[in-house]
Amino acid sequence: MKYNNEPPANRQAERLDELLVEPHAAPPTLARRIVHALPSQSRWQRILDWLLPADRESRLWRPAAVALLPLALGFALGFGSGTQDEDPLYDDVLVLAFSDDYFATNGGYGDE
Amino acid sequence: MSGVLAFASAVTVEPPLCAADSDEALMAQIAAGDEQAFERLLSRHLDRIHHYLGRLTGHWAECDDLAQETFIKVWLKARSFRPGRVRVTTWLHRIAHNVAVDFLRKAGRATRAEAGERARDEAGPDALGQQAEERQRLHEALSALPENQRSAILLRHQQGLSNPETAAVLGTSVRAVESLLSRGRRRLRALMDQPGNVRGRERIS
Repeated sequence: MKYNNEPPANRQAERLDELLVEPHAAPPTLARRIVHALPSQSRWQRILDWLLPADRESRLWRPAAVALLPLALGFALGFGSGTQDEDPLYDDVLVLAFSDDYFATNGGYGDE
Repeated sequence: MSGVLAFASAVTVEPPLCAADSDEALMAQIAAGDEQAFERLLSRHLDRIHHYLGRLTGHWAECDDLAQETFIKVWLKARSFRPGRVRVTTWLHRIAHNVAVDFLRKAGRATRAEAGERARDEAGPDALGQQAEERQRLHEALSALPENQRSAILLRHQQGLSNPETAAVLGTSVRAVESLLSRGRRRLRALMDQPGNVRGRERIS
């Protein structure tokens, strides 16, 4: 009744809006069905999701960080092995090297 | 003393509206694998998404499957949601829209004409009266619209999204959405004025 004084075009537009926003309910069992159908995510899938996320920023730095890990490990091992100067075997090696050199230049042991 | 207690009880009885119950907070919990949070988000948005999918595709029989596919994608992609950039409703509608468009592409153009007929069949012989007839005409007129105009009208007028949100869902500009809405509404009204011609136009196109 409230439309009676309005132009027909306005009435049509309002009626169209009313029809479009009519309430709707999904089937009551659908929610339960969806929850039951949820796939369980494996650990590998989670790692992949983390490694290759959807947003651009993380998509750049995360694979780069993972690719740099072996390099960082190599640096760590390399610098770590350089601090073994106090190895007692090192002195023995020096003595042996010196001895070999001495015997080679003097024709062997003096007793022979 | 009693005044202090009354104040304390008032504070504890009515906790402030916290963000823990927001869609964004639920998405963070879903990203961590919380099924209960997923169920809460589902109960909030399932009806709207189901309605949108049904109206957009015109295939109400397949609508349950499409809604299921949409929400499973939500579950799997929850980690990629970035709060602050886009609202959860916009993100959900975008996923639903992509699922519907994929479905329509797979189903092919022929099914759009069938959708109008199917909508008429689903209304059934009991759906008598002027309101049912109007609803039926709306179904048929919507099925006759191009997909982008139909999506814009449904997102804006049925789902209540703003123009920028509609543009975000459709992956287009706000100006393009305004144009789609204007042309879509004009054509929808014209189609609804001529109910007998809707199916005829479908056959021709």
